[in-house]
Formats: sequence, C-alpha cells, structure tokens
Amino acid sequence: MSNKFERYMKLYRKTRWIKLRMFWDDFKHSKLGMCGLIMLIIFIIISILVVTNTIIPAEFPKKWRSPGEWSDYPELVPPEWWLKLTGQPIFPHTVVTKTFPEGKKEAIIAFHYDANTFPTDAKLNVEIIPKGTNIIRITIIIHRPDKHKITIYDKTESITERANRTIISLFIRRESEISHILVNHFKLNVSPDIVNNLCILFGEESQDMWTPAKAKPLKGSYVLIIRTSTFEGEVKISKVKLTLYANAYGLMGTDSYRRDLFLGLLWGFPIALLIGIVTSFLTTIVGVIYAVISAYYGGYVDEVMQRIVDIVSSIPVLPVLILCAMIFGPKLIIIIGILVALTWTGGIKTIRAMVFQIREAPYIEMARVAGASTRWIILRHILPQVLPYSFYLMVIGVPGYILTEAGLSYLGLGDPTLPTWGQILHDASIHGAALCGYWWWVIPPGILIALVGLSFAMIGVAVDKILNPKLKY
Amino acid sequence: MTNREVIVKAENLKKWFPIKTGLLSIFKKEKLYVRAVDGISFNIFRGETFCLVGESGCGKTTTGRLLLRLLKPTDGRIIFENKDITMTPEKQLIEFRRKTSMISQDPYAAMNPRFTVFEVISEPLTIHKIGSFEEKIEIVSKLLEEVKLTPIEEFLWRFPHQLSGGQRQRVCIARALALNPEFIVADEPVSMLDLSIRAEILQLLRDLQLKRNLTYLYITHDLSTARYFCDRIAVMYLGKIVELSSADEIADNPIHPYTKALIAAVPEPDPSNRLKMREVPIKGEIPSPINIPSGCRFINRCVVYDNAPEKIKKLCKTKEPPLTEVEDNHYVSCWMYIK
Amino acid sequence: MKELLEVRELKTYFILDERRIVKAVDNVSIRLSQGESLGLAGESGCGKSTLGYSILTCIPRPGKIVGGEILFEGENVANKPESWLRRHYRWIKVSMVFQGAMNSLNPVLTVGRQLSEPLVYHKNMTYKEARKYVVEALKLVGLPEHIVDRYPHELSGGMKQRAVIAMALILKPKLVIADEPTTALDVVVQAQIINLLKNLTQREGMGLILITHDLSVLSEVVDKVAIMYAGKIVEYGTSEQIYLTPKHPYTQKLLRAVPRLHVKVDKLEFIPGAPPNLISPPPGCRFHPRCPIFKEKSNFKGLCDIEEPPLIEVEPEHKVACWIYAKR
Repeated sequence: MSNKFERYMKLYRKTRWIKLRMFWDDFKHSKLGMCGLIMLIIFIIISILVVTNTIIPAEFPKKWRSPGEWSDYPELVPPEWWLKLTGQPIFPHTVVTKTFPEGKKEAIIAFHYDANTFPTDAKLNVEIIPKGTNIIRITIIIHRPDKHKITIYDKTESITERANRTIISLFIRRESEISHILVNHFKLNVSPDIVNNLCILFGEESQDMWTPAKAKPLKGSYVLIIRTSTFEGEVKISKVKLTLYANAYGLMGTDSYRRDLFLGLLWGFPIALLIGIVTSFLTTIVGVIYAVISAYYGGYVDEVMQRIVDIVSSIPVLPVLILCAMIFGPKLIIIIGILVALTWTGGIKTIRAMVFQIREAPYIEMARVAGASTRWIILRHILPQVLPYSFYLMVIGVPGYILTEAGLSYLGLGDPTLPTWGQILHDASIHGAALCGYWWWVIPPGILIALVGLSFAMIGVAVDKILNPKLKY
Repeated sequence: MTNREVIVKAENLKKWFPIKTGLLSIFKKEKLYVRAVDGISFNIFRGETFCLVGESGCGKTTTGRLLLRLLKPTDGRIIFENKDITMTPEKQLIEFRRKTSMISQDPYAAMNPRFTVFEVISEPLTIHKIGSFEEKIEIVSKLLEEVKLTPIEEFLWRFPHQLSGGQRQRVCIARALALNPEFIVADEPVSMLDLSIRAEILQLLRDLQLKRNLTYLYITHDLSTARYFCDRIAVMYLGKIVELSSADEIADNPIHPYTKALIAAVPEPDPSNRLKMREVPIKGEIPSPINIPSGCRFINRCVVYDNAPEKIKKLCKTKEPPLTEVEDNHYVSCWMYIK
Repeated sequence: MKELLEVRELKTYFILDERRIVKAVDNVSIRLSQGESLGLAGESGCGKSTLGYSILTCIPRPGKIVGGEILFEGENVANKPESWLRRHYRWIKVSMVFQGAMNSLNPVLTVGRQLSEPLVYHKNMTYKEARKYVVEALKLVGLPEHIVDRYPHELSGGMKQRAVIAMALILKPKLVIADEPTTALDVVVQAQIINLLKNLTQREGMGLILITHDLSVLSEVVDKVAIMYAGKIVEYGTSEQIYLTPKHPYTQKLLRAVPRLHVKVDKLEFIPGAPPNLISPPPGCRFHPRCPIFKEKSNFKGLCDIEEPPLIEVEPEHKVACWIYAKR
C-alpha cells in the first residue's frame, strides 16, 4: 500500500500547484503583464533598499521636515545631468573652511575661482566667541583678482549670547544692502533691486556685470577678510566657512527648501506602494466578504445589504476627506481609514453576480446533500472561485489609491510629515514651480506616480485577460 | 410481495413556491403560488428502484429534492427509516445526510471545476470528518475501483474537464457512494450521456445496488429507460401521482388516460412506424401550475372525459380523484376506473 | 430525375492551429432525391451536425471545407462565393433548424417579426406584406394566426420549436436540415413534432435531413439512414435495411443499446470505451478499438487496424464500411 501511496503523493504534489503554474505560464506570455511586473519588481527593490536604510539614512522624514538640515545644499537648482545635457557650465559646490583654534580678531580666507559660471548663492558662516559683550561689529571685505576691494558688510549688531559660540550666517544673494554697495562701487547704471549680487561680486567688470545673462566670471584668486571688534569685552573668530552653492545638484536637483529631491522621490516609493497596496487590499477584502455574504444569503438579506451599498457609494469621498482632515488633522491612518470606509463598494456588483451564478450550480447542491454547512460552501467552493477576480480588483485598485493620495497631498490635505510625491507636488505648486520653470520639481514626481500606476494597470490588464470570469472553463 | 421494509415514506407532500412580484408583494392579499408538488404520498421499499416519471414541470425533480430535505415541504411529512424528518433542523440531519446521496443529470456541472477527482469524491468524507488524508486516499481508491475507473493513478488527480462524459458520471457515482449510503436519488443520470454508454452506467448502478443493498429513487422523463431499469413507476402530472404500479404493468397495461398518452407517444425503432402518424390520445398543452382548476387537473387534456357518462363527468369537474388501488398493486387516480 | 443533393467525398476540418486539425467530416458521400428524407445518426462528436452545417455552407469557425463537393441540383456550392450563397442558396434552397434554436429566439421581437426577416431581406417585402406569408408558414406547422404577435416567452417549448421550423420553411426551400429538433422536448410534444416532420416530407414533398442521436425518433420519420462514426459513414441504407438487417458491428451494437418501452428487454447492450479523438483518430477502421468482432476474431488483426475499409454495397442501396464484407 505504501508504494502505491507514494506514487499517489508524487502526482498529488504535481497537481497541487497546477493552477498556479498554469496561471504563471499564461502570464509569462503577456508582454504587457511582464513589463508591468518587471517595473513593479524594480520599484519593490527600491522600496526595500530605502526602508532598510541602505541608500538613505534613517530618520529621513524628520530631516525632510526641518529646513535647517538642508542649509548646505543649493536652493532650487536643476539636476547635474541636465546642465551637462544642455551644455551649460556647471559651478561646482565649493566649501572653504578655516578654523582658528585660539581665535583671531581678523580672519582671512582665500580661494581660487575657476568656474565658467556663477554660483547660485554664497553663504558665509562666521563662528565667533564673544566674551562679556553683546554688541559686535563685523566687517567683511573682499579682494578681487582685478584688484577691486569691496567692503560688502559692515554692521554693528547685538547678539544674544548662547553657550559661548555664535554663528553668523550671511547669504549674499538676498542681501539688498550688498546690492546697493556693489552697484555703487562699480557705478552701474541699474536699480539695485534687480541685480544679481553674485554676478557682480565674481564677474568681470563691465556695465553688464549685474545680470547673469551677460556677465562673465572673473577667474582668479579671491581673498575674504573678516574683522570683528567690540566696545567692551572681547570677540574672537573661531571658524569661518564660505559656501559657494553650485548651480546644479545631484540626480534630481533641489527644491526651494534646499532639499535633495532625489532622496525625497526615492522615499516616495515605499510610501506610495504601501498606501496603494494596503488601501486596495483592505478595500478588496471588505468588499469581497460583503458581496459573498450578501449574494449567498439572497432574499431580504441581500436587498438590505445592497441598499447599504447604494448609500455608501453615493457618499462623496473628497468632501468627507477634507472635513476629516480639518477635524482630526491630516494623518495617514485617517486618510486610509476613510478611503477604505467609503470605497469598498467598488467591485461588489461583479462579485455578487459571480456568487449568484456559483450558488445555483449543481455541485453546490451536491455538497449540501453530503451535509455541507454554509461555512463550508462559502470557504471551499465560493471563495476560491471568487479569489482570482478579487486579486484582479486589488491590483487594478492600487493606482487609483496612489493617485488619490497624491491628489490629496497636492490639495494640502495629505500628511505633511511624510515625503510623498503628492507632498512634493504640493510644495512645488505653492512655490509656483510650474510657472517659474522649475521643471525638476514638478515633472519627476508626476512621472513616478504615473509609472507606478501604470505598472499596476499593466499587470491588472494581463491578469484580467487570464482570469476573466466570463471565460468559463 | 413479502412484507418489505419501507425506507422512505412521503405523506401528502406539498411544495408551493410563492410568486414574488416585487418588494410590495408582501402586502398583496391574494398570493399566487406555483404548486410544484401538490399532495403526493408513496412508499419506497428498501432495495428497490422506484421511478418518478413525467414531463417537465410535473414536479418530479422537486419531489426528489424534498425527499432529500434540500427543500422544506409546505405541507405533509417525510419519513426516513421510521423517523419523521420533515421539520428537523439542518444540524440534526447529519445522520440522514450520511445515509442519503444524489446523482444528478449533468455530471460536469455537478463537480466543482477546480477540484481534482480526489477532492470531488472525498468531499463528503471531509465534511463528515472521516479519515486522515492517507485513509481518504485509500477509501477513494477503492471507490474508483468499484466504479471501474482504473488505473487509479490516472484518475485521482485529474480535473473534470479532462474526463469524458461517462467517466464524469462515474466519478459522481463514486462520490455518491463515499459515505456508504442506503438511499440514492438519481435525477436523470444518463440523459446527457451517449446512447452506447447509457446501458453501461445503468448496469453499473444495478451492480452497485445488488452489492450494497441500495435503494434508488430514479427520476426521468424517458419511459423506455424507466421500464428497463426500475421496479416500480409512479407517473406524475402537475404535482400529483396519477398512476403507480410495477414497471411492466405501467408499460404493458396503463390505465390512467395520461399514462396511456405518454406510452402512445414514445417512439420505437421500427421503420414501419414512419408510414403512419403516431396517434397520441391527448388534447391541448400543459397548463400552468399556478392556476390549477378544482376537480381533476387533467380534465382539459383528457380524451376519455369527452365520452364519459354524465355522473362521472360531474365528479371529474368537482372532486379530485384520490390515488386508489384498482388492480393488484396498481394504483390510479381517475374517476373512470375507481369504483 | 436529377438528384436534389449529392455530397461527394466531403472533408470538413476544424483547423485549431498548425498542428491540431479536427477531422470532423472525413470523406463523406450521401445522396438525396426530391421528396426524400435522410437520417444522420450517431453519437456525440461523430460529425453529423458538422455535415449538416457543411451542406448549408455555414460552418462555425475555425471549420472549413477542405475537400470534396456539395452538388445541389447539379451545382457545386462548396466553392461558391459568399455573396452568391447569400442571395441564391441559403434559406432559399436549403434551410436549417439548428440545435437548441427554440431557446435562441430573439426575446424582444415578436414571432411574426422574426419570421418575416428572411422575406424582407430576400424578397424586398415590407413587414406588412410579409405577414400573409408568415401566417401561411405558421399554418403549415400547426400554429394559429395570433402567434404572429406573440413574444417567444409567451410560448411553450413545443410552440417555440414549431415556430423555428416555420422560420426554416418561410421561403419554401427544397431541403430542410433539422439538427436534433426534439431533444429538449417532452415526449408528447416530441410526438407532435415528429408527426409534423412526417407531414412536411410526405404530404408537402419537402426534402429533409434529420440529424439526431435518438434512433427511435429517426425510424419514425426518415426513409434512408446514414450511421456516422468519428467523421465517417459506416453504414448507409434504407430504414428497413438499417433497422432490421444492420450489417456493421457498430450499428448492431447501437441498436441493441436502445431501450424499448413496448418490449421487455432483459439486457441492454453497451459499447465499452469512448468515441475517438478526431485530431488523431485510430489508424485503419476508426471503430476497431471498440469493435467486438475485432476483439474476438484474430483474422482481422493486421487488417482493421491498418487499412480503412471502403464503403461497399452489400445489397441494392445498402452500403457498409467494414472488412467483414469488403474484400481485400
């Protein structure tokens, strides 16, 4: 007997997965499906790498939220490859640091300017150690290679003493006073309001040096002298850092908060997949169980349950979401919860029709003759036949939910603590990125949303062709 | 006939299906019903093959379902092995379900297309929690041998769509035998099979009956097969039995006008038949089972009625004839023949 | 008298893909004169329905006539273009009552409207003009005039089948092919339809090809019978010859498998096994794996399983394809 038994078991194991293997064989043939699947696998790999912190350090969302963390990054610059592609000159990110361990009253730093274009901004950090005084005078003078000497900063300020060290930050581009100084120094015939400080500072002297379109960079050695003085007490400079911001950064550029968009976009993958898959999964489960129960029992139960479906499906999702966002705050759990609660009615009609058809089948009657309980019939006969189509519903629902979340974030209702693509688009829109031509802020998130949605849609189409309930055996 | 044990007894069984005309039909006073089974009584003896024969809509299939308690009767009683199971709740019917099973008309539709043959046959075992996996394989293998589906390895793991019509029906028969039942309802088991294998399946059923002392309720509209296979035949019309006797009696000596019409209508493979028109002594069409007239329900189609004496005509119009023994073990419900 | 229909060595194959070809009708020849009725009998998958479709030149995809001729009144319709067939042949000369047609009536059109369609299409009548002919056709099948305005769901099964037969008769074709016209009907209605078919052939002189697996029904209607097995005709002759003196083992076994009502039968015979796969049928005689003679008598081994027996005449008008009767 055991010999026979072993033979039977071998065949049993072969046929156990036969349905799955048949499905996979069919799926392999669909070019669309395989394309979508490969894309999805890539996205999942990226998500795993992101979540396990291999390519992005942990705590990234926190970093995303605090603009202070990004002060060393250039502001609103396109990706590096874009400048290479369009043949524009790149200004490399230059940081010149000098520390003075004992402190000095006058600090001098020199640097060599070699680039073919101008930096997008320049930041000067001066670390001072004030002793016994609040009032400090700082003077900054720059010596250009063409022997021009400009005092770009000369101010007396009061500084709140904080732990013996104080950092003074000076962003050169924004300072309108520097504009006035520069315009006057070079006797330019323009209003100081419209000049670009950096072009003038680092440009060859000419009447056009105030605009980056016509100015030419002045190459050579520059020297910066920083002087401090006080009335009473003592002030010493411990560290000076000059940052010349590049005009391009990284793979995806930066936004107006100076955040590296590449990392932000990468972070969007696991979140988008999570939101889409989780919401779709929950919605499908609720919908399928509801439809099976409603259709199996039929009669009044079915009537009542279907009326509930009618009511729920007529509740407008967006106003409810807005309302809840206002009341409870835009938390992700709430958003997913409401989406599940209001959109589970999606696939009900088809599943219900399928269950009606299966319910009348003779083999169901046969199971009852053998003494099957309702639970048995639903679990062993009805659900397995409904499951393939439910799988399809789940797959096809994911892009919808990803888009919904993106749309919500875009409208400002999304969870602001999470760096989702919708959030990025939201920030882009409130900063007018599209209008100002900062395409690297607007287009990549959009494309990624579309690609993720597309991959699911392609898989869904391939799955539908194979599992369509209309195609009977 | 020796005093034989009655295994199934139907007492004045009725099944009326209400006609719903929408949600508001609950407010309608006059409710309409489809009177599928309208008061039938009969006994089935252990070991016999009892046949319910009739045209479509006569209620034979519904009766079969009532006897298996797949439907609850509107009125009347069902008695199985001396226990009244008319109103027993489903949970207490486990023993009953083990002792009864069914074979149905379309063997392909009677199997879940995603189940292997093993899963189909072992489903009753699993429902009743009988046997471990190995034991189930043992039992199923023995059943496959019994229905002559060999070699067993070839069939155990096949899917229904990989089997021929005859093989599928054998699998359904094996499933019906899984729990060692005593009573099997066979609803048109061979009507969808090819002519050359019908006899094979019927022979198999007969062999199984002798071996296992089974009792069959055979439901069909094909009188020729009924005569060949069954011991006793009950002819049904519009939810009632109009004639009940042994198979040979019904075929050779029909009494009720309806039975006579049915017998006359059956074609025979005799080439001389084509030279004359087949005369069927019946009028009109089958009436709807909703509005059943009082009195004998066959009255509108009965050719005997037209030539009957006045006294009997009056009875036919007003009173429904009961099923009465008019000859030895030959029951008819027709006023012409009841004394 | 010219033959109404002559089918010569017809081959209708279903081409599933490059490697799989179902030889549904394989080298079949039949003959029918005006006013004659022929029965095509056989089990499921023997090709009788496909033969019917082929004669109507309306074979469902992916079927094709790949060889042979269908001569209707002398003209070969197997290679005529679609436009000619539509205008001069289908429904005008030959019509068909399809299997299960009574359930395929359009539920949203009245019976009269559906019956009028061939008239409107072929004879350019209006629906009003067609009504007269429709009523005539209904009378021919025994239906009253008011049926013209009824919808299919208002009719019983028997009435629907008659309506479908009327639809086939509406243009007064010379030949009607009826595919399983009585299968889904009750026995009383079946008798009525059989009587109707008899009427049409015997009184109206209509040619009829009756396709069914029910040998009892066949014997009540047709004059000639062709028994088909696995795409071939195995026996062919008059009703008397086939039913009373069948020669082919398959026919003999088949007739002994028919259950009888008026005669007490002790044992019904059956044929073990199943009809063969038409993509790769058995070599030689297609029936040999199930043939009792082949199994019992050893002198047929090496003959029936290698060479196909030809259809030869054993007595006038009686042809058999079996090595018992054919000479090597």
